[in-house]
Amino acid sequence: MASDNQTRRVLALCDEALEQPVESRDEFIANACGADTTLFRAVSSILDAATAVDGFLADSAMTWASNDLTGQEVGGYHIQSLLGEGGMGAVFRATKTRDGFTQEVALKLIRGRFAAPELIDRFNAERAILARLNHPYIARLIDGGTDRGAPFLVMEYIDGQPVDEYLDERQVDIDGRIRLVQKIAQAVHAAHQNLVIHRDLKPSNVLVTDDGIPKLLDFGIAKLLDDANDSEPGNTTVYGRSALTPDFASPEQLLDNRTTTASDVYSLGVLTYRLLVGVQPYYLERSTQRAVLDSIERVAVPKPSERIASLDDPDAQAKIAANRSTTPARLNARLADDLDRIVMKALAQDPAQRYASVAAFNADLERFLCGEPVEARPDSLGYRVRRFVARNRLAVGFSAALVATLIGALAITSRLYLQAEQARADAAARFDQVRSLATTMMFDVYDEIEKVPGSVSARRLLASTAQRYLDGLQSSDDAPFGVRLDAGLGFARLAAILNRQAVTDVADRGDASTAYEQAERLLLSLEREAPGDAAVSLAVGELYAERARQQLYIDNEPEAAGSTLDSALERLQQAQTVQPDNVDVEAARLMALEIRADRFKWLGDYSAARDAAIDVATLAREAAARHGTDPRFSRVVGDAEQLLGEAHYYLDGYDDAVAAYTAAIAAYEQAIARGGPDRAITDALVTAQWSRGNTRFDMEQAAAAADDYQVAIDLTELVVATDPNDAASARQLAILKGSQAMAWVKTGRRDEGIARMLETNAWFEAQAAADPDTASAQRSLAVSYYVSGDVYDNAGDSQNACRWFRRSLEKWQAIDARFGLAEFDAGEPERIRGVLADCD
Amino acid sequence: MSEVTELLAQWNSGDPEARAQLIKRIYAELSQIARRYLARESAVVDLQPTLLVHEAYLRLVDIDRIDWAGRAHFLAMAARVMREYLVDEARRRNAQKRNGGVQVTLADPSDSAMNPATDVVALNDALDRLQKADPDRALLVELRFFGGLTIEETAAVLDMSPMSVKRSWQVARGWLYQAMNPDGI
Repeated sequence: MASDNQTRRVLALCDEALEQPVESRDEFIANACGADTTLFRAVSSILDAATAVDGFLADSAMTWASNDLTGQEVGGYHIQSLLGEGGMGAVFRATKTRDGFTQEVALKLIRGRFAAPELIDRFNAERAILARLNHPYIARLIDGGTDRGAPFLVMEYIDGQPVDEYLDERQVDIDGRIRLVQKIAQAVHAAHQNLVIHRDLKPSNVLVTDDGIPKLLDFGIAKLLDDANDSEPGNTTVYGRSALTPDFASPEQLLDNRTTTASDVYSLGVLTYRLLVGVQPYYLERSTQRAVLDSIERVAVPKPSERIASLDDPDAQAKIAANRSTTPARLNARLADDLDRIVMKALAQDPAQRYASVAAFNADLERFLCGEPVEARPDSLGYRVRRFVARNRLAVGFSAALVATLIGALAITSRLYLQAEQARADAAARFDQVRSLATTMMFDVYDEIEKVPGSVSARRLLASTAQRYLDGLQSSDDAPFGVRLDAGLGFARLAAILNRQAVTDVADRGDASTAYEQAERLLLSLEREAPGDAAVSLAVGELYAERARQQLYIDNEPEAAGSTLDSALERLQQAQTVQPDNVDVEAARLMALEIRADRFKWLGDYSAARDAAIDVATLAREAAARHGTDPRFSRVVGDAEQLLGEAHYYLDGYDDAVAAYTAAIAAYEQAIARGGPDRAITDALVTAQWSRGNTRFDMEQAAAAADDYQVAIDLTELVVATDPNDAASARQLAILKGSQAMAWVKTGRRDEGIARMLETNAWFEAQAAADPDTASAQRSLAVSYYVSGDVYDNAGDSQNACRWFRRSLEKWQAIDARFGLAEFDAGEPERIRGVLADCD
Repeated sequence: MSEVTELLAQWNSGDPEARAQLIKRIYAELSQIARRYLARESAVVDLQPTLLVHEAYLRLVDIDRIDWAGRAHFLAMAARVMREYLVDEARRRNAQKRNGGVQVTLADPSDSAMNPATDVVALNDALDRLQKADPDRALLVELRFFGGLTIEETAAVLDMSPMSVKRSWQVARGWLYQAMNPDGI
């Protein structure tokens, strides 16, 4: 223990050091201490602590004492003990007893009150979004509200340790640390898919339970608190009261207060750095806010493998290595090259230079662990892999709350616009700005999100937000022409969005119709007002095309779709006459023509479908050549060729069908090359590959068919990997594997084929078990059993074949008893009995 | 002249007995006020410690009749009383704690790290050690943390410039943090 004399000397030196200008402080300490490294270390550590540990003793003792609400009730929760406290409030362990069982929670009481009722609404709305974040590695937000005017949040109580302590205490090695980081990354990625950005990732926000399960705390809470904090006057500093931690915050967060998924990538990079290396990549000068901003701009991040060596203290180096069950030299060797590259890529100053998503970062860590070349290494990956990893190349750089804010601004400016006659010009200008911003957010952003697998709930949220926005726009009846056209287009887009969602979710269908009707009413009134206006004609034409799509693909009303398509094409023809060079009009018209061709197929008229598809493909191919970068025309070519393939299959023979499918595949690949990764086009590409495979299978070209299936499987596996919750893709994958199983057996790859088939069976069995009350899940299993029998039969194993046929029959009988058989399936048991007659 | 004012005057003139009596009076008064605040219905207590001290002060003495030196003494003493009171309270609570605290921190975004509930007893011990090496600085901590005085108020009481108070406070915090967390940041 240091003597009082030594302590005095250290303290005096600290005082003097603080009198020096920031930039010469280190030099001053070094000079003053000379060779006395103990003194140097003592002074440095005190100054580090003084600047880095902001919250320590920040509140006075009485505030601390008054925070201790032990024994009191808050929001129906019984406060048990104080867990922690800080500038924004205090966190308690609390319990609630309901129906005889006691729930243990962490309750966060936020200091301050909401001045305005709107803020309470916003707080509650945002809270509802966060409450939907459901991930095994994210501490759930359970409840919240206000009690006697004070806002509070209730979170899952985690009995765990901060991640850095946890890892050090157990001396987890680098690979083990990476695996934990990967779990954290999974959680962050899942949140990003729900458009929630953490904004404050750091070790104290990641607790690890005794079982080694990480739990991320306070997801999105930073934003929530920031919003609540708006109620306090004088809150003008860039980050002064903003909820972030400078040493973990990205440059753009500190400099522009701009937070995107890319900022989380950065913070995750800092966290990873800290967990791998044991120290921060850098410590920002914290004396003033200006100093923070200056130092983040100047900061040069040392490579992880060089950081430990830069510590002067050999004991500290040895300790860091020991905590990773290794030696300093070995640790540096493990970090060098690939890990350096991965971490440095996440820590790029420019967000565009970082990993495009947390998933991409995670994937690179996985490659590192598997000894594969990492993405961060230049030119290491083949075109196809890059292309599909790039599918996630999307920084969802906004949150739904931002949209909500814009809508608030819109409502205000729109009221101003209508009320204050004299301020009309000003208000109109602001209104226009906000409107265009909101429209961009709503729709361009929607398009981007839609390309990301697994963003269904985010999409739904955006759609409902859009609805509110449009209702606001529409209510201004005396709004100018352009505004009403925007609203009409908005409703049309909304209808399209809801339609696509309706394919998987029946609940959205009614909303889609309502949006459609509102759009039609607005746009037709504009058409009466300005007959012949190309923009209006285009809007009406696209609306009718969308309506026809709904009638055809969702409502199964091909007759109605026919007349709707005629109306659509009439408008688009009209628009094209007025503006022959308008590329949007041309694209819309070709898409409508493609739907019309597809409609013949739905009517069973393959001959008409074939002729129409050839026409559309020719027109679209010619347009695609003229508009070299526009993916829409390539997409139409693909759709038309796919239709043509189907028509040829039934009418003309397999060779023509294969040629058409091949053309469709090429067109889709061109569309992806032009427009970047797109989920819908990928799905279409998978279908085309599968169809070509099926055709080749029928042509007795089983090996070629198996190759087609393999491409489709690879593509689908990438989709499933990025979003395990995408049930439709998982199902598609199982079906593709079943198809491939048969193809393999036919080509003599008997064992592989049977293994594949059993894989497929297992998947359908799991689905059926998880969903025992759904007929379709049981039906799929019955079909899968039958196909298994078929596979064994083709493999020459009649005993197993009979076994699976029998199981299929039993399944069908069970379905019949429980649900009854659909007309389509009614003959199935009898047919299988016929097959079984050949068994003993 | 009120009783307290008289005691203050006596203390100022060097009567040790006056000091003891004064502390007793102030302690009782402060405890009463503190208890009232702590038991308050409100879930969020926007408590201003300085106001609390001033309130006690105003109740005890006739403020116009006392010179600045007396006021400085009083505030220093009030801070000391607060420290003793809170440390006693913490010891009492710790004794009652059945399971011992689970070290879980929910991070507070406004700070670099959410402070685990400040261990007042450990702080008290560290402050005792600081007092031996640097009594002036320990007094400053008492005024700032336990007394809830602002930088400016502390500067006035200690007759230092606000800049020096700020620096000295920052160093004290760093030292105390190191003393309470020997394993580093």
